[in-house]
Amino acid sequence: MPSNLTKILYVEDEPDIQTIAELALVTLGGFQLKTCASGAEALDAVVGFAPDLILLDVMMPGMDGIATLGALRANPATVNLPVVFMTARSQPAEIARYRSLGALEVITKPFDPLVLADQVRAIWQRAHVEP
Amino acid sequence: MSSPDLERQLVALRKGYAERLPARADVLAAIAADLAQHWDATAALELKRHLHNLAGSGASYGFPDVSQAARAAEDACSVALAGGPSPPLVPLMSALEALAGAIARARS
Repeated sequence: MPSNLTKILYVEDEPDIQTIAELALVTLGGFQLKTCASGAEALDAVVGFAPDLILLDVMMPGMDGIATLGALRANPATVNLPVVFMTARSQPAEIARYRSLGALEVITKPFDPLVLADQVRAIWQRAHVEP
Repeated sequence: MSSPDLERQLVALRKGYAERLPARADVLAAIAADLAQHWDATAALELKRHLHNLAGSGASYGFPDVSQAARAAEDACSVALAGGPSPPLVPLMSALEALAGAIARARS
């Protein structure tokens, strides 16, 4: 994992959520962002874009976030890529399940666009501090 | 970006989202009317997807009541989907009415 968080691959099928997240992460957060509307699109883009982190919606039509994470983990080029799930379903049992699948953290939707970038940075920094 | 520029962008995004809400409410109402006539799990899953997206976006645009009401309706839809071939629909329809009210208030 690189020490600085610069490039984020953002996977979300809902255009309204994409729009507000792009404002939060690019305009406010200063990240280099590539947005994909599906898990399949993300799998096509991930190696070429080479993100430091993936923000991955859980519930998407077709290939959902969990299946997308599974495909990322099955590819040697992306097996260790940090993934943060974004979900409107954030019961403790679900969060524990997502972590057990290998998600670095879970961000709850709806998110506050004014703090989303700070949330992502905090997750990144924790991942570098924790053993 | 300066704070006034950011504020302008957020206001514009919020306005656009609010302007799209009635069309989304119309889609929900059309699916709900069909379901009231004839329960269909595929249509209910489509309704649930719309509700999930509203729940996940409303508060990000400054409409927490829309998110909350959409979440309640999504939960009611999940219950109906688990209720067999002819589930009771009163809780789902009540939740959708509450959501329509929240959307109307967001537009006012």
